[in-house]
Amino acid sequence: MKPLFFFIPLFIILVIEGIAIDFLPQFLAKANLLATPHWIFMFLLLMTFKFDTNDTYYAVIYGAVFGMLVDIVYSDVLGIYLFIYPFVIYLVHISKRFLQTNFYMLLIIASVSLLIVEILLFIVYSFVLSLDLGQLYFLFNRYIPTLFANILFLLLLYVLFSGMMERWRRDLFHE
Amino acid sequence: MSFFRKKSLFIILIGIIVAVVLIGYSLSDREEASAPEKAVIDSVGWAQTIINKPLQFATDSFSNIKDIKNTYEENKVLRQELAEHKTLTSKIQEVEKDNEELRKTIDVEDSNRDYEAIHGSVIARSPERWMDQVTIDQGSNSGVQKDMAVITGEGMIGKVQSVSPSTAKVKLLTGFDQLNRVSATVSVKDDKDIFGLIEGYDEKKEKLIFSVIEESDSKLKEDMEVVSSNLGGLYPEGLPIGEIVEVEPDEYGLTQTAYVEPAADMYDINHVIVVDRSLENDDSEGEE
Repeated sequence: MKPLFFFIPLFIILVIEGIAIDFLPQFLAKANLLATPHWIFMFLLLMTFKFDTNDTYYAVIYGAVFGMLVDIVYSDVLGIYLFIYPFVIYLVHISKRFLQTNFYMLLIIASVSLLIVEILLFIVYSFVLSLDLGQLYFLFNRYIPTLFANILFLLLLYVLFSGMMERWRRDLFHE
Repeated sequence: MSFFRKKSLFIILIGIIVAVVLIGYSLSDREEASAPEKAVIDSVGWAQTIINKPLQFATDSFSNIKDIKNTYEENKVLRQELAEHKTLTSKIQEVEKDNEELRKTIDVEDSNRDYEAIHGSVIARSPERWMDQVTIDQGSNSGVQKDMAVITGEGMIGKVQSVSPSTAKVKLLTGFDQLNRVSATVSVKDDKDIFGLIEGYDEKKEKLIFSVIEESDSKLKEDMEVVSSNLGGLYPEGLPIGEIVEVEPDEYGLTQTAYVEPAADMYDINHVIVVDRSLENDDSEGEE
């Protein structure tokens, strides 16, 4: 039953993703520093590192479920996050086997995988919504603030959840 | 191990197929979201309203404190404006009366400017592309329908994109594209109005693009006001959209394109009004 518990924090994050933006200082928006919160993704990353073993894929499954919910609630085009979140989480899951799973590695992986998510999103959107490819520079305009906003949130999540996740992994999988 | 790799490759392929099918499904012009989607949107919206209320209260009271500082200065200005207002109201009353009488003489009952207002407040913004879409806390239960115009006190901000029972998604003017255009007019003194379309949003200039369809003898100029027009059939006439800040000949040199600064602040939207014209029409049909 314990893996089901993660539904609750993930749902709360889903809800506040939409609200948080309205309470950011407005000069950020006016300076065109658009940060996209991928906070659900950050939580899933932490799950991959701290909860999933090499043979369990809870984070990937949650990625599919909540990718779908993000699609429905925020983007109106179904199937984009549904594919991208679990796919990138799966890549992280694979690469975790060859890497140390300490805190600094988590930060590095988070930055790299965020970049992958943003690029994939951009590619899909340029196909689906026929965005102008000249807008590529917007991607990089967005990446730095996005990275900043998400790493901050990851630190918060780390403080709140990493201990609990590790304990549960020990209980559940006896590792 | 090789079996496992094959299996995961298989799953990824299925994932891609499912994603493509779903993308295709949601891009096909379906009238509205499916029932399970609506349920999800509504339950998230409900949670957002709950979180939003105290936060809104906090920010409101914070800005109230700021306002108090300016009260004295504002009071002076407002007094002056009030005096002007009084003369204006009496004038408007006369004009309205005149208007009504004139309408009666030519047998036109409904004005294109009339509408019913549905008040709502913003509960969320789309996290990616957050200049494109906001969610409001009124839905089909309170009469909101697809394609209704949405305004704030300052001007038009967008139109309703999709509706679920208790929330609605609003597409902002800054997220408009070729598929979502607004018919608009620029009224010219002593001449025919210039009719055109708001065709999209220039992200680099951060202005709306207004392109002329039907010219009059006078050219577009800066500082002219762009308002919505009834010719598209969707919106009431005269909702302010913005002010022209720059005029350019279009790529073929045949007409003009103007860049319009939106009247409403797209970054700071809290309370909105959904413009409902259908009620008005239903009533008049009932009377006939």
